[in-house]
Amino acid sequence: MGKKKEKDGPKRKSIKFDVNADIDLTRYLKVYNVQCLNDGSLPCSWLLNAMKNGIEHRKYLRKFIVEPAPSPPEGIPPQPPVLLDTIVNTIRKAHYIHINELVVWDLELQHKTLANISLLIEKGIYPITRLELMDCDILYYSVERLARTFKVSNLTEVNLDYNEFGDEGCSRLCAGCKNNKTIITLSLCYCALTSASGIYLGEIAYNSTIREFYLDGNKIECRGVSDMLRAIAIAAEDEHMKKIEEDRLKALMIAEGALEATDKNVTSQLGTTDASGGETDGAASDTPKKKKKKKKKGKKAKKEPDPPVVGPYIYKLHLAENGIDPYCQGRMEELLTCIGIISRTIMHSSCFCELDLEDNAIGNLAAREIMEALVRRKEGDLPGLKMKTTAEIQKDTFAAIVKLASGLKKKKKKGKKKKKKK
Amino acid sequence: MAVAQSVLLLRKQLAELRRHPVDGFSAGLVDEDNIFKWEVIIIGPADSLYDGGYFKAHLTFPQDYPQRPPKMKFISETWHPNVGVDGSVCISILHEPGDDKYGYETAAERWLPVHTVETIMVSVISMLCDPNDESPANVDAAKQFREDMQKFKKNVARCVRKSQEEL
Repeated sequence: MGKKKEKDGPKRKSIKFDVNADIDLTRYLKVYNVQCLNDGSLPCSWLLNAMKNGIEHRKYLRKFIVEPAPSPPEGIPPQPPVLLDTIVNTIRKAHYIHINELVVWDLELQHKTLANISLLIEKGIYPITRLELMDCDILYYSVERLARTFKVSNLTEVNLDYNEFGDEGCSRLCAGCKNNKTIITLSLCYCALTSASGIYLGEIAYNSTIREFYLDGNKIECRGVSDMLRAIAIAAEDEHMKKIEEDRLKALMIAEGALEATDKNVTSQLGTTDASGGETDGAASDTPKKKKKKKKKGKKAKKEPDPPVVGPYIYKLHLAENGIDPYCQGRMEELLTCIGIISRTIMHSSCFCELDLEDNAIGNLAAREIMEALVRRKEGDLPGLKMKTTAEIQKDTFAAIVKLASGLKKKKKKGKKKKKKK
Repeated sequence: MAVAQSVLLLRKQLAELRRHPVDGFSAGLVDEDNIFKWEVIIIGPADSLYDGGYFKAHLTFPQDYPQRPPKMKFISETWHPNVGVDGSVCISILHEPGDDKYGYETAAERWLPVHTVETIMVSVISMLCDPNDESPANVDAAKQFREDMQKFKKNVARCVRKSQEEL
């Protein structure tokens, strides 16, 4: 503490340097270049730039983004591919233990490579908390290998968007997620899931810490959603009812207690002089302690969030474009069951904070029901819910939903604006 | 003289934007000494496919601005029917003034000296909200936009993610 680089302007005060960051990064780069030559891989340009940047500013590179090089214009011979194996092996060889996020886009990953990544994740020494493998052509049996690592990993967020492994993959993934105690977010957008996946997803929503689901662009449909949420809705309802009962009892107790307290007050007033003297003493000795506490708070600023709880809790549920509509024979009933379950969750779950149903033509009746659920939620004094729904419903229902559920607002938006001004 | 006018005008606009930032984008210079090259960051408009993205673009003004339009080029990767593969933005108000030889646009739709950075940005943001696949700059994107909306969405989503990472 205390030693700050002279160059730091007033704005950059909070930036700290990582001792040895430049050394470790340089070593990584060196090994990586050699490995690339050996494996016949094209170095990933994003990685190289980020490393160089990190060396310059003496900051560890926490996030690895790996993407293929843009395909060369016609006439120029194709370049060798960017290989993920090389990067993973280099992490091992250079003993680069500062990686928190591994993001891979558009690389075709063989089972072998995926197994390699799994081995890396399994090693507790590499604190990888976020894994994103977008559009990597992962097949269902590779998913199984990956899912097996979840139990022994540090992962909190898994994103497998655009890998069309379907229900088979989903079931194997969910088998790996069972009883998981670290993962919070699971994203499976456009993974070709159908209604059969609902039951697996429901199981892990119920029995693990996963509480944010991004499932846009699948075909989970009404039946799948019902399967997924049924148990959760019931659990939420139970809990809510219990809480209401408890509150009622508590209110009763307080009311009774208040009566007793008034009696006590009269008696205790006799001894107040003594007690107050003691209190002031205590207050005086407290003050220095308080100051210390304040200082500490200032340094930490953020309170460590509580560890995630295993249980039937869903915080965020994104189901855009999932064919939740009545456009098929016998689907109307399914839709109503499904919406009924969603409504129950909305009404009773206090932790539910985001629901995205965009691009599902749920129709007026269902929208109405959701609206009523939102009203009930508000009356029940549960925290607000952000919700997105289709616009293809009656105007007043839509307006009411928008008003009751203040719309999905993505984070980040505000802070960044200021930064950019040069 | 013409140079002086453009410099003055651009400086005025920059100062104005700095003082009263407009929602949806922010503007600055690529190089503090060169008033003709601007860097803008466009915030993907809410309720469009580009929601959540931060797209960096460069505006290059000609010496005889505002008689001729600036050129706009996205630095961030963008997948949009009206943005070329190289990032160049193709909207009518950025086209050289005069009549269109193909008769597609009227002179009134093209560049007029009354346009400012702000009006250009407003047009670009509305372009993001509502792609025009009738006169595409990126034919592949336009084709996908018409025929395979899901793939199109996916590509856009990827650009949005990338733009977030790059900031």
